[in-house]
Amino acid sequence: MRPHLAALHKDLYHCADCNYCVDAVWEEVGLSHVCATVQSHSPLVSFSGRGYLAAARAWHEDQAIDLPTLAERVFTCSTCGHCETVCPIGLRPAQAALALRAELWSEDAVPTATRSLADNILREGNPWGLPRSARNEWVPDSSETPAPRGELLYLPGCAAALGHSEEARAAATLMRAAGYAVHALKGDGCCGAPLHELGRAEEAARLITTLARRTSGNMPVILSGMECAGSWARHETAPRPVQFMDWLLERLGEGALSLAPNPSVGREVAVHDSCQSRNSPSHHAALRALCEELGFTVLASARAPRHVLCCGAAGGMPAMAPQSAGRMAEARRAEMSQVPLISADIRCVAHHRQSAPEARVYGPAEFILTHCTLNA
Amino acid sequence: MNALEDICAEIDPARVFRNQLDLLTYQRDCSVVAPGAATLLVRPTSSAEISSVLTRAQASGTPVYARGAGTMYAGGVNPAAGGVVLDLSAMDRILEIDPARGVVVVEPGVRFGSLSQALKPLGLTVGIIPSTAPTATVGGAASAHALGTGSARHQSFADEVVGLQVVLPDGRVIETGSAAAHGKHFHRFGMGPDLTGLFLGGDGTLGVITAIALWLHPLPEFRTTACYGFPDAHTAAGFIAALQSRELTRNVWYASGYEAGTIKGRVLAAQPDYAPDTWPGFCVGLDFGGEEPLVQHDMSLIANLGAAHGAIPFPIFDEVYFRHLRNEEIYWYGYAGYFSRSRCAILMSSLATPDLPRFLDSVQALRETEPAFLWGGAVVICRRGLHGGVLAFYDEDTQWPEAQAATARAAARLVEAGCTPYKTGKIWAGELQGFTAYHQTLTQLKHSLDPQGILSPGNLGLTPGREMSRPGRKA
Repeated sequence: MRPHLAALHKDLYHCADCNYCVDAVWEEVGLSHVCATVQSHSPLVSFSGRGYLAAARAWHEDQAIDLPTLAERVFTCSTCGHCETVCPIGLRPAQAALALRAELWSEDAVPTATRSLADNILREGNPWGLPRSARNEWVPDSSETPAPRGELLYLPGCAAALGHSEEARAAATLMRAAGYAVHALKGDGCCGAPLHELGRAEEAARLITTLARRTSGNMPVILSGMECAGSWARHETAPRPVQFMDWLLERLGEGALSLAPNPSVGREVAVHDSCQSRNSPSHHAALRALCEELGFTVLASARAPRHVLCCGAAGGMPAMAPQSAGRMAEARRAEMSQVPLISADIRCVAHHRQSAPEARVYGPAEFILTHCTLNA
Repeated sequence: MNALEDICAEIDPARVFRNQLDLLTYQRDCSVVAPGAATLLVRPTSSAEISSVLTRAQASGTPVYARGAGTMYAGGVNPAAGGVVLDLSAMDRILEIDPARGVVVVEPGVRFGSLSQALKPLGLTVGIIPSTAPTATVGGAASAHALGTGSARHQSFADEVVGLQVVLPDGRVIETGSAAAHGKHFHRFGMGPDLTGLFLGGDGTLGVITAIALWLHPLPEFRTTACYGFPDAHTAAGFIAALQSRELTRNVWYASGYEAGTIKGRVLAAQPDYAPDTWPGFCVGLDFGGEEPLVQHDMSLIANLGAAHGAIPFPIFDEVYFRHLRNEEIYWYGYAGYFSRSRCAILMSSLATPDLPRFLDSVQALRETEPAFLWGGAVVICRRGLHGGVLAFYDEDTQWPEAQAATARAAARLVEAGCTPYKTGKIWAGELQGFTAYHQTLTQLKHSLDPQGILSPGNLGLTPGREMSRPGRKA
């Protein structure tokens, strides 16, 4: 009995092998490909949602399974969930991938790269294994800012704190400029999002529970991490933290901050929609609204936000197949290479900048500080 | 070197796969038909590579199954006799678009979604686009007799094929139609008998199709839909027959018919309080496309024709269902309506329009004699005749073998009712053998082209396959 697979019983026996989760083209709905892994890593169906459902069913039926091969296939998935968005009958291939991961952990059949990733998260609270002490290096030198408007607890998330700390620093600068004192959580830990993606949902749940307990209080909590938002959404808690971008839009609306584009910068930008928020229209709308509020023109995307492909930052892709992860990022940049790209998902920004340091991909706060004049 | 290794000797090793996990996803299609288990997967990129595979497979008698996206529901791609699967999805180039000649030539792995995307800026389309267009491949449609959008105007996919390039079972590569003489596709017939037709709907039994030339048509500039209700299937059949004989489907790209239960179910699901004096016993939905004045003219003629056959406009069905079916994303996968409940077995047949009541009577009889399954019937209206789909919804975990047996009994019943197998694959193989003279001739052709019987054993009942008795479960 494999409980994680059994929990998906209906999906396993309902999949009609229609291939929509492998590859599909429908221009009218903004769909040109479905699976970034199939597109940039391997064309084999076994690397796709249908492959995961078929493997899960076979294993559930006690067929002999080549576990090392299965592990390679399953941990290469970016878990972006596009396969679930396009499934015509609402099945959950990405959940099947997560269930397979969970079962592979229980069989101790996990690739070395994945195991290192998980060890890093559990030991140091971040996927890269950087020391915990590095996590708060974004904290402003002075915490003496007059705070007529109040105090904030800022949780940048692993990507903004460590992977691309320019974003955390920039966000803190903007918060202070708006008149808020910005506090960091001492010994801030991982929210569990990357562990969840690796199939260790229970440990991930423990991490977010701990974090939620430590942050409960009267101070509003601001997040930058898109994947962190997913963790908070899975955790039964209220009130939920506020995404930095939403917070910033509100402050701009009430006049707490005044920003204008630098005269020397171009006025056209493009939005790099994150696959993690494909089914959250408010996220896509918020970043576009922010750019327009600042006086920039947002060029139309080649794909509908809900049909974007993963840039390679998510899931196990960077650890399992770094070259393919780099190709995925290159494919996304190629869709809109002529203007700066802004992403609300700092994990994407960090991944782009790591795979191509010259890439003009920015987090929202970093973009504002490098392209706008504050309190103009 | 063993036979399987020899078969792929001239293929880039990066495109040859042997792992059981990879082969798992090539065991079956959307059908109820039992899966097969191939031992080798090859992703060729050219006719020359396929020729090499077939030449070597012929020498060792190794079965070979060609496969597109696997969206068909007749089991044609299921490798019942094991052997090699040729996944043609890497052959996905649009080779030529020639508006002057009115022809587009594509490799078999081109998806209809990609083809439409390429043709749209030119104001063009192809004649038949299956409801699985985002994933379905042109090669699969040619091999398995697709239908769909365009059937009301053009009939079947085969009617829209100008010519083919085919790799024969012995490895020879041929072109059919005018391309055989000139290397250019502009005429399907000529010189002699129509060799193109030999491979269309052949489910890969007589050759592997490696290029398909299709007629081009103007992309309809104006589209609209309309629905008509009829007292019963008899009067609806009279109307449809009149529509077809007067060629009033010339500006209709899709048309279908619905049973009373479907009509009531769809309408009440959307508007629970809807309470007409009488419900139609049958409903016809029409999806028009073309130049607006011509469409409006035909709509007027059709409305008059309908009135003469007892039809009344039934806009609520259009509003709550048919218009959305044709236009909106929720219905983008034509099978979603079929598969949303559970897996379902689908038997597609063709029938003469006057036989519509007999077809529906057969569906009703199945409901009564096979109560273990939920049965449905659906009708697509073609330029001539109808396509009738019979659906059996089943639980694949607990009812799979029983559903296969019930489908076989349903196939026999449909033939008795005057229906002809369509999209034959393996699901109709048993019944096809009953059309003795036709099947004997087909068998002779098969034997002369493929003496070892390597291509797609089990399809069309030509050579036996070896199906897995209880798919999946460990013995």
